[in-house]
Amino acid sequence: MNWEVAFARAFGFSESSPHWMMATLFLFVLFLMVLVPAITFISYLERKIGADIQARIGPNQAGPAGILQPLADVLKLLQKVNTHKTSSIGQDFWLVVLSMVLYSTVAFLPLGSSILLLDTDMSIFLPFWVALVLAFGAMLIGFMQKTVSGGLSGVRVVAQAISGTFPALIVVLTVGYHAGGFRWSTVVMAQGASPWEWNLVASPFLFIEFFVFVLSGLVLLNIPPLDAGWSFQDLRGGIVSQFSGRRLSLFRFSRIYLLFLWSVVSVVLFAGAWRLPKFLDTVLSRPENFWFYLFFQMTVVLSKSLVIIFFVIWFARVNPRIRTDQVTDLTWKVLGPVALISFVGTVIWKNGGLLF
Amino acid sequence: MKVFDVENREYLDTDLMLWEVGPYHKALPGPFVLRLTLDGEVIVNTRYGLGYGHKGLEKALELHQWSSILPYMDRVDPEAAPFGEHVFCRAVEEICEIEVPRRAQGIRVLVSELSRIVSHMGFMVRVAEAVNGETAIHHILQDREKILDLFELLTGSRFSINFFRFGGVRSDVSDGFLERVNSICETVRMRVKEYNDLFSYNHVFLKRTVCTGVLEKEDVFHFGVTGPNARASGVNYDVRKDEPYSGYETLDFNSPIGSGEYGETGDAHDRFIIRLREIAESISIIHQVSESLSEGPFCNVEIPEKLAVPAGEAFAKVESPRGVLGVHVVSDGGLQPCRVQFRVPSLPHVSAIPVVLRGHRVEDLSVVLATLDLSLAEVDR
Repeated sequence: MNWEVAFARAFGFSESSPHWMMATLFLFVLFLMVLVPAITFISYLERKIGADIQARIGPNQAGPAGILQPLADVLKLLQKVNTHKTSSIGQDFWLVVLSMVLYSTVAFLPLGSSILLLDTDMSIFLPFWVALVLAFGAMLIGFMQKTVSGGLSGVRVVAQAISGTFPALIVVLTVGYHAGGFRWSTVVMAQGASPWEWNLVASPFLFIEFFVFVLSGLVLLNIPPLDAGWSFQDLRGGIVSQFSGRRLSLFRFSRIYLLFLWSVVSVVLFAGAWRLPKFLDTVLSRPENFWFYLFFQMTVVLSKSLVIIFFVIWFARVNPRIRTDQVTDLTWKVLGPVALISFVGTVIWKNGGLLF
Repeated sequence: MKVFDVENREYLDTDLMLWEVGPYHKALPGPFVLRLTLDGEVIVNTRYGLGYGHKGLEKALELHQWSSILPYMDRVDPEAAPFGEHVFCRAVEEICEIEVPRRAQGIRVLVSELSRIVSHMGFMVRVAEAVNGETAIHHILQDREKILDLFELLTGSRFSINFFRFGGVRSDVSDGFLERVNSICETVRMRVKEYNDLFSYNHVFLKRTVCTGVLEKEDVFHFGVTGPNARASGVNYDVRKDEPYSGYETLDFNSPIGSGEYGETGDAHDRFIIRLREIAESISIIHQVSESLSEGPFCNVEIPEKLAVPAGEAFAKVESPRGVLGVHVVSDGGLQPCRVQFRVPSLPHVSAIPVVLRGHRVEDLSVVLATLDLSLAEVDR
């Protein structure tokens, strides 16, 4: 019983519908029903947590306890007309390309064993491709804007993206080595439901690698406080200074989506992903419980990634912004070597018997 | 950075870039223009342009009668209003040979030190904003409100207090005011320790400010930098100690000097820490004054509506939160001043910006400008 059959039965399609049609519809439904609410909730959470830390109240006007604030923001932004003189067809083209690239990640977002569309050996490396394309596109948009701040902002984004990829890739290599493969399912099956069976505590090196991974993800994706490319204090926002209306709302959505993506990937690699306790697993993996299984697994993954997101938001609100060259110093001089040493350590840990 | 300049060139252009920052920019403390010459991210040269906030204050003062000038003195440096009033009152009192009673001197010192704390807290907020440490901003502003409430209790308004008069102050302190001042100062002292835990020694903040924006001792003398910026660079000059006025000679306090604890002497972190310590010193001064406030009148002179200051001139200076604030008042015996000219502390600091910024990165711009604690209102007046 896989997602195609269950989806077809639930929505009344014939089970022999073409695969591409089912996949497209499923992605669409997944995006609308899971991702958009999750992202808007995270954006609301970011404002409320930030407000709590700063002894403020945060949004409390739009809807009960301000829960509709993200919707109000989007509706306001959609009413604006972009009147910047340097707005060009090149920028629009690149923004479309970047959006397509970014939301194509929904296809391999590991939210549950039953809804993995892309479970190949390369799935784990696709977020890096996405992040690098986004950085490259941001740089081109910055150059197209023909302002000094746009150009500098684009270069900073790319510098951080390149430097952040290096430790993160080594961590992925380590985890794949430890688990015996790079497929999502292999990595997840190497872990269990209880925290003692997570990759996080499987070896001290993997524990270190978890923090290296999360931190290098923040660098790679320009997430605050490592977001010097979007700095308002010196660059007036850089590329963002010329965004308003639809582009700005898409940009903000994609910022939070990137954080969400990285948290989900970290959870899948290190924190036991969607593994349920044995008794639940045996009951729910029966074919008739497909939707419950899906729901439970997704809830587990999302709640674990919410914990990581909470800590990242806390870290961002309290700490000042770090300068780009200091960020790249951090990744090249600290995170990279630590990741390499941990990789060697993991290899020795796993194959220690062969050595001694 | 002309990369795809297909009309004229076919190669990557690596000349220096010219970037004009201002007159309105988040990094600038007020409206002025910085024309930066950039080599990539490194600032090679800076030129500045002032005058965007010019109000013609000094000329306007020549057209007003003596008593009605005092509210304008609040606007010389709006964040540290009492100091403008204090320095003008001192100059006129010197020309008229008016003596200020001891009680009024004590109240003046009290108000001045409270305003110094307010100004330094505003400085901390601006520095936190420059490095994007948002949490500190809101907490510091909340505590600043408590002191501004004190101003409102005493004078009726939070910032532009219009409180000093020739020969004393406008009114006496009310019952219970001094106790309230002391308790709020103790709260602020505790909170400053919390800011240290949160922000001042935060690893990221240290990385952004240590060894950044170093103001050398020679440049302090070359440009005439005064106040906390000069003391952070090791030059020990404080008007309250070297040429005391208004009862400061009877008070026991220190002027913190920068010593490069975390980096070089005179870097941005030194300038930040010096002002934090000055808050603690101001609290100690406030405690001493409130304990020893002598009985007596709060104003010696009943100023008539049409005051004619006798002919003469005087130059008076005070230690404002930004440096030495001086005023040269010339009177020809009439109802209006003949000339009023200010020596503002922020102007030498603006002149020092090109020297301080050379070799720094664009990201250090906001840090350096915030830690120099400029007030464009007094520079342009």
